[in-house]
Amino acid sequence: MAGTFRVLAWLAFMALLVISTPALAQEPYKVGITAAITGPAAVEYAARVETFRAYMSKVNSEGGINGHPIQLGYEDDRGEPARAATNAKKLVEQDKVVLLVNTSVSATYKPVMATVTEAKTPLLFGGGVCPQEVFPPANPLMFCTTSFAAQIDSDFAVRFMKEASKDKVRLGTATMDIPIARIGIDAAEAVGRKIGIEIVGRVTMPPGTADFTPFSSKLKDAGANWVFAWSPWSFEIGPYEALLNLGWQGNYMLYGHQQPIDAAYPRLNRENLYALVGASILAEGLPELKAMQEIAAKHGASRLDVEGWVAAVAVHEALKACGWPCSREKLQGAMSGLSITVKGVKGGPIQWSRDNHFRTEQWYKVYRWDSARQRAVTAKEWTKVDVAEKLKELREIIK
Amino acid sequence: MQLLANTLALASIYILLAVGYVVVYRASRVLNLAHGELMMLAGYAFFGLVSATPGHPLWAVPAALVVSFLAGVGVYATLVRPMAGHPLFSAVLVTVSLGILLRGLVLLGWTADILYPLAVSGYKNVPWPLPGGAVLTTIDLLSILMAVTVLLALWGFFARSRLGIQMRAAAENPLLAAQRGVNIHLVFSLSWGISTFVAGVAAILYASKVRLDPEIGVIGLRAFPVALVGGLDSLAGVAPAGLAIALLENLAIRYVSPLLSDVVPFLALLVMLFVRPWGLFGTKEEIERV
Repeated sequence: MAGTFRVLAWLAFMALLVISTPALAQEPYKVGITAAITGPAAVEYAARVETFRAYMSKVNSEGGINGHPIQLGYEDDRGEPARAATNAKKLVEQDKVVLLVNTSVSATYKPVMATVTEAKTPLLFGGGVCPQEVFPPANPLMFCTTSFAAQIDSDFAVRFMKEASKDKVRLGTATMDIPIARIGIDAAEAVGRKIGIEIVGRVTMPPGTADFTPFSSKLKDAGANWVFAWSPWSFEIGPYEALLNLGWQGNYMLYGHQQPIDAAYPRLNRENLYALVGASILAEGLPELKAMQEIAAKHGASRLDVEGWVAAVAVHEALKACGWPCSREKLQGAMSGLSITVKGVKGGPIQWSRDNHFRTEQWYKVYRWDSARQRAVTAKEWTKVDVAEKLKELREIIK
Repeated sequence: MQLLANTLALASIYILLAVGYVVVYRASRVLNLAHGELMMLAGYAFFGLVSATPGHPLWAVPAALVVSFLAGVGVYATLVRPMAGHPLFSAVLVTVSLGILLRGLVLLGWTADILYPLAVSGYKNVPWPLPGGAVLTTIDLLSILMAVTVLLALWGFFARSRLGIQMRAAAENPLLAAQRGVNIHLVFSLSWGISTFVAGVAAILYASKVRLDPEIGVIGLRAFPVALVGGLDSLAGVAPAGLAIALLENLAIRYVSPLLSDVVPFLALLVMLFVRPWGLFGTKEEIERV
């Protein structure tokens, strides 16, 4: 009798285990995103979120991470600080996400940072410009995968112009009137002067600019033979197109945000447009990017945005490294030493260290359009920049 | 010389937009704060039609203008007409809500991507050198031509045509006009249609020159001071006000600070409100009604 009870108890225990295991396995990793899905900045950020979502859908369809699916919570902040603050509070305090992702404009950063700091939740900037807090000495909670960084980009760009130009570079700069873009352009001008480039003029354009022609006329009349723009996309390409309309014949360099530069190159079909990038563009026709495009499309994304993909890979790798169960503290520890490789997209891995949550090495490539071959070609191959050294050098130059 | 060319190009877009505010205000006394968004809608209609008729982009222009005209008539019939008898500010609030709704709908339909209708049409915006080293593009020249044409056509319409005279009568005293047999609602809906038709012209030109995205409606807001500086009930005031504000903007960009370009239209408006609140050519009594 006792033996029968033991067998029954054992069977009951096994049955309970069998019943409860799927329930446990389905407990998700909760990740929250506050993003500019609508509003003026959505031009750049909406596609990133779409790709991020598609990548996570792919991960879930393949069984999730460590046997657990990823549950994403999306909130639209329209690029507005107040909305971003509300979103962060909701996702962190109410939804109890283990990681918060910010894919929005820099104006939203402060309130989001305040919330994650209070709740000790890791925050990933995935697709928006990397803030000061991720550079050495990094805030332990904040990380960034975004390819562009105002000062280091600008430094690389002006050095490229000097290297690529046979004549003396007479540089004009164009920037939207937002703090991060001004920081980038200040760096470009300071580095430019240091290496012997003549700075002939700068135009700072207010956010409500309707017509770029008056601004571009000023640069043309100043005698610029190179113009550098570092801003949100509309304020990079707008002055360039206005310069073309004015019959300007110089060279133009901008940070090549992947989605829009991919569309702009064939549309404009001009060889004097140089794009500095930290991630490959589709117009180059790399097979890795084509494969990503297919995966993104299969999982519901209407287009591939490389920044969104890289951020999603980082979240994937971070959660994998965190294991299960994954607490906020454990995840933060796992992220601090993480190395993220996205083959074909970047020149090298994004390697985070204890005090550098931007990356220890930044890689750049420069493209231009080849109108005869109707495709983007490399103007400068992937080049490594040691981030710590470059920041030290820039501090010296800019002070 | 380029300064003058830039001024003419910018002024022409401001004029085309400001005309819409004035025509609607003159007829129905409503400040249409969705004017920028209705312009944006016309831009998207143009893009949709250009994309749908590859190889025949010129069909898309009149078709988009018809859509634009009908949108104005539709807005009057469905949103503004039911507000008759309510305080005027209720109708103004309705237009604010309409603007928000239109932006949302456009985002749903087309996303926030930047679109380039001219590239889809296969046409190019060619730069043309002018005397004095200035350059204007084909679209700039068309904008200037259209601004002049629209102003002359509207002047002729209001001064000479029976319907135009009826519209002026309805604007001055709707009750009396109605008693004299003027179909007030036809007149009002026509004024809304004309307003959005002209906004459609501006949208096609602007989207062809610069870009099309859900934020271009903001340009409507920049043209609002032009309408007020010229005189909200005065078509004659639109041209000098548009030229003056565009010139001030260009001068500020070139000689003072590019950052001032955003505030110049509103500074001009502020000065005008202090000096002559009814605008350059507006009616003094009208400002009291506002």
